[in-house]
Amino acid sequence: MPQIVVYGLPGIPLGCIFALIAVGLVLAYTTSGVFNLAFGAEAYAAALLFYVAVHAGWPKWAAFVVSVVLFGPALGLAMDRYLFRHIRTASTLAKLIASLGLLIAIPRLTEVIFGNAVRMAPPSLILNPNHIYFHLGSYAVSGIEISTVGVTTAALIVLIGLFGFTQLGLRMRAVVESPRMVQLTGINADRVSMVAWVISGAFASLAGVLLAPLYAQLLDYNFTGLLVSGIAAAAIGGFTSLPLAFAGGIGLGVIQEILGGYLPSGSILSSGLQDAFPFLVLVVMLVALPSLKREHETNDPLASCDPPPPPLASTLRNQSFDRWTRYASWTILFIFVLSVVTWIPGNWVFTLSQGMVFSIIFLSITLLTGMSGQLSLAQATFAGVGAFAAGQLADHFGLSVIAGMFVGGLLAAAVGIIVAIPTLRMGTLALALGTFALALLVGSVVFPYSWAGNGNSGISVPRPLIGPVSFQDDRAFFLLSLVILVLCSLVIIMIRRGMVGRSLLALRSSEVAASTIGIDVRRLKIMVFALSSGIAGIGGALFASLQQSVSPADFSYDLSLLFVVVVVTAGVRTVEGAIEAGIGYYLLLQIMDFLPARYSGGVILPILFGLGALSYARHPEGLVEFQKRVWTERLLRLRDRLGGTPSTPDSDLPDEVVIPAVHHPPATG
Amino acid sequence: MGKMRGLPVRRGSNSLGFRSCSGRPMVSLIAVLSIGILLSACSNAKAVYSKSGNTNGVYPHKIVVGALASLTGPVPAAFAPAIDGAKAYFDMINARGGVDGRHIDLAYVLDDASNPAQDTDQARTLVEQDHVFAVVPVATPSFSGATYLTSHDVPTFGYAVTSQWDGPKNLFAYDGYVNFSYPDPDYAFVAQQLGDHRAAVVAYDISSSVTACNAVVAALRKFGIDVVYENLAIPVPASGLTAAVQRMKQDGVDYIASCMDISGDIQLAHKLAQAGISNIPQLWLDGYSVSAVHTYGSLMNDVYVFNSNVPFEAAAEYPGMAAYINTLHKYFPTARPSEVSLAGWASADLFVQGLRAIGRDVTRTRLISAINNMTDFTANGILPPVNWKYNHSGEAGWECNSFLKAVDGHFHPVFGSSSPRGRSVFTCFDMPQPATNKLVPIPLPPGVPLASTSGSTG
Repeated sequence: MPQIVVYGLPGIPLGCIFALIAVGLVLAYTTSGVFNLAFGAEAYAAALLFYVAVHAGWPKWAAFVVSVVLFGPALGLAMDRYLFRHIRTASTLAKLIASLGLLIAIPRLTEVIFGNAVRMAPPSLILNPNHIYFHLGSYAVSGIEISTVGVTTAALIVLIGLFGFTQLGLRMRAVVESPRMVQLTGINADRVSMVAWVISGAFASLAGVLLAPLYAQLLDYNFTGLLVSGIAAAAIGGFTSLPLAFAGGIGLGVIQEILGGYLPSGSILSSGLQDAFPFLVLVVMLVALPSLKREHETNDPLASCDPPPPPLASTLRNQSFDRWTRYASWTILFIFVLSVVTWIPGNWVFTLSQGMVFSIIFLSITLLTGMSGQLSLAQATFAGVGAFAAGQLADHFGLSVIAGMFVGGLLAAAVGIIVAIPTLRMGTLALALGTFALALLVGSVVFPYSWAGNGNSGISVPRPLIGPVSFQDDRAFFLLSLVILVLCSLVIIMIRRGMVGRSLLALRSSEVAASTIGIDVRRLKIMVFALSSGIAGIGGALFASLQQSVSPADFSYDLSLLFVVVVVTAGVRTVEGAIEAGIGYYLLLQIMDFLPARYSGGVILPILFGLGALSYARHPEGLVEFQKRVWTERLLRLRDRLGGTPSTPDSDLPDEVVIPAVHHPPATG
Repeated sequence: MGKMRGLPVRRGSNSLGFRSCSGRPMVSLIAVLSIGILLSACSNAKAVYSKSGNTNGVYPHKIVVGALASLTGPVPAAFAPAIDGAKAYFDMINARGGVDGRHIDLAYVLDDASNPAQDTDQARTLVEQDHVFAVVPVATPSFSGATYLTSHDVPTFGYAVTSQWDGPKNLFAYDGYVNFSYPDPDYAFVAQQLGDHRAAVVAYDISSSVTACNAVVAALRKFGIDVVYENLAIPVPASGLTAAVQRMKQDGVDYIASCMDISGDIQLAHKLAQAGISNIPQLWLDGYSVSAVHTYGSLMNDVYVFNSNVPFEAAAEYPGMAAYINTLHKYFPTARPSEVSLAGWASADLFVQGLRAIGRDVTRTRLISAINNMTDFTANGILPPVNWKYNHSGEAGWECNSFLKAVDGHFHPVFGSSSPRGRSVFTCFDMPQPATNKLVPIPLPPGVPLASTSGSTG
């Protein structure tokens, strides 16, 4: 048997998993316009359920029925019925954030329900995974390979049967081809979408159960990591073609294994290319395929436009109320700072400093997502670039951390530009997927090097000294963080109030309209992306100095995802939203420490914020900002009832232009 | 429908929204100069370590300690058993009346959720809020709180998986510090014992794994084992192992050294079986898991592992190990003996031995100093003696390990040493190795636990 075949054969089972992921993604995307980032989390949840059932002594067929036949489709059905159906007409950004919320929340929910035990030897579905059943030439075929290929083939046959020979399949194919045309013929698109989500859920759970025994331990990040390969396979099919996505998955698996065989063993080329391969395929597809440059159109011509933003709480206040709240805010801030530098215990000062440093990183999300409507899933990676640059410069060249912070910010901005140029012109989805793949790639390939993050050991980063003033003391460092946070906030506020902010507002509302009034959309997007990456880099460098030692684990890809849902839930459109998110999240994390580990902040907060992000389509201003508006209105009404003059909005210009609502999507559950 | 306002632009703003500076070049100049002056005045502060000798957490009838471990998060509860081990030990000591009339109260167990930022936070909480005297044990893959605990001179004991444990005099890894960058004689020793001469070495493409296996490659070559296949760039999670195994087969490899985790190692074993070469002996750096060997059974046949303590399988001959297993079972009936749990137990034992050495006058400085003067800590006969005068920097002079072979779902101790004093599961080597190319185990150093004895007390 030729060597290339020997190398390539083991790639087929792996490719089958990629293919199942790709088909599930394409099915949901084409019928509902949702790119389901939570697919990996669904797969993990099903695999966990299968594992728990088998270890509880259930027969495998019963565990299969529960996890794949019932749970997977039911989860898909629930996602459609209670979430995605209601945001079909929402923007790509809103849909992506909703799926991101699920991706964050589902694995931690399983931790609450099933605990966090080490789960060795995930069971195989039908055959003994390690037994050799027959040989193909010199290649021995094991149980896990037979079951993976066999079950995938069976799933494919069912799918072909459904699509080729049933009325429902015909309708689904029609929806894939032209959703608007299908609706004109009176077909219930909701029902078609529901079936697609059920099938997608079944594919996710099947992929999960098949994938699990490939690894010795059942770990959620194995599933998320493979998502990039599934996305790359889906991209080969243009995110629309099921057969091509399927073939792409198999092809990716095979080529990946062949590369492993022929590249020089142990070389950086071998390791880097194997890790980077799905990322490269994805980027090439995003750049090369013309069909991907246009996001999938759903059945609403206004779908590419964001829902009109509701008024911010700050715009509702009249002059006297505004004056009163301003005085109150300054007083509280003064007391807060005074307390921090005098009596608050050191560990809480440190937590507050952490919160402020993360607020700076979160401001980068405010700028990118809140103001320009773009989504980056690599903000923690950009923060890592800034942190490691500052640390390495301080270590090797004795450069001050403050100067290193600027250099780190510039480096992060440069990396941001490199990523933004090929992906930004293709829209929100491409940017989100491109940055997600980048975060995985940089986290696993670049950061572990000794010249970057130095693996598990990490690097030491000193505290700064400005003239005679040392920031070694935590209270002094708190003040430094406060100053830098204020400066970064001022930059964001000035941008928002200036020409760029107005252009971004136009861009966020409608890209086409923005370009018709002379806005250079591409240049503007790249500039904002670079600025956002730079701010994240500065925040990362400051974080490194606060911690005094950082490692790649501080900037892992999953933190980027968490950052987005935390900021979106708190309020992505305002500076105070980012600050509330940063300080609030880290304070809550500490406060919730008294709870048992299974319900501690590290588990519960991602669930709460992940679920909070599901409401983004309904409350793009963020749940906290929404509550602030509600309470402001209540306070104003109470004030009016108590005999004050009826409140009228401030005559001065609000921070955001208030556009009347023409359509609000219904509740998202 | 309300009115739609226009998009107002404030006068005097440039495209970024800042006030235009075009008419005021002096302002720009001053701004740039200010930043320049600020940056030129910047440098880095030197870390100041406090030597407090503090007695926080020390009361007339108890000493309060805290633990720091990864109990939740993306890394599963692999580190949680360390808490059980330490608690079991403290319960046993307290049942016997405590240490010099004081009970040890493991009052706080904080979770860093496998998040380095939270690890530092929790270390601070233990010291500044909970006012613990010491941290016993630490068990986390990202011990970023080490910097803080060192700067505050807090006695800290635990399970070392990162290099943060290397150096600081207040950090005590339960089995002493092992410098992974030294050429490691254990891999060459096993190859020599089995008569193998053509080795393959595999590691993940992460620095800790690569560093460990670089030392393995150096040692194998130094002692005459031909490294015919070297792949220190396996992605995590492991993939592409089929190609690696095919190449091993082509190159006639008769011995495999792995620095991957057990997940990658199991995959490697599976691929070897698939290629029909499962009889090639393998030595795994991370593989001493009783539950894994039970689960994978014959797939792990011909797998060797080594570790720094008496194996659980030899408990019948080592009372110290039997005491650990029995006590763990007594206080935590569902817990299984494991390396991590043992690390918690031995950490607690080191802490208690230190307290006993200083008597009633308990301060952090005195405790740290007392432990750093210990030369033969064995955790009641389950570890080769750790000399804390040198062990913070890995200069102990020799290293001992026990070796085990997996056979049909069980580990069995192999090799070992004999001396006029008795027999031991441990095999010892000079560290670092002398310049000679001959790998010869050294005679058992004094204090190494011997079989069927009561073991030396630490």
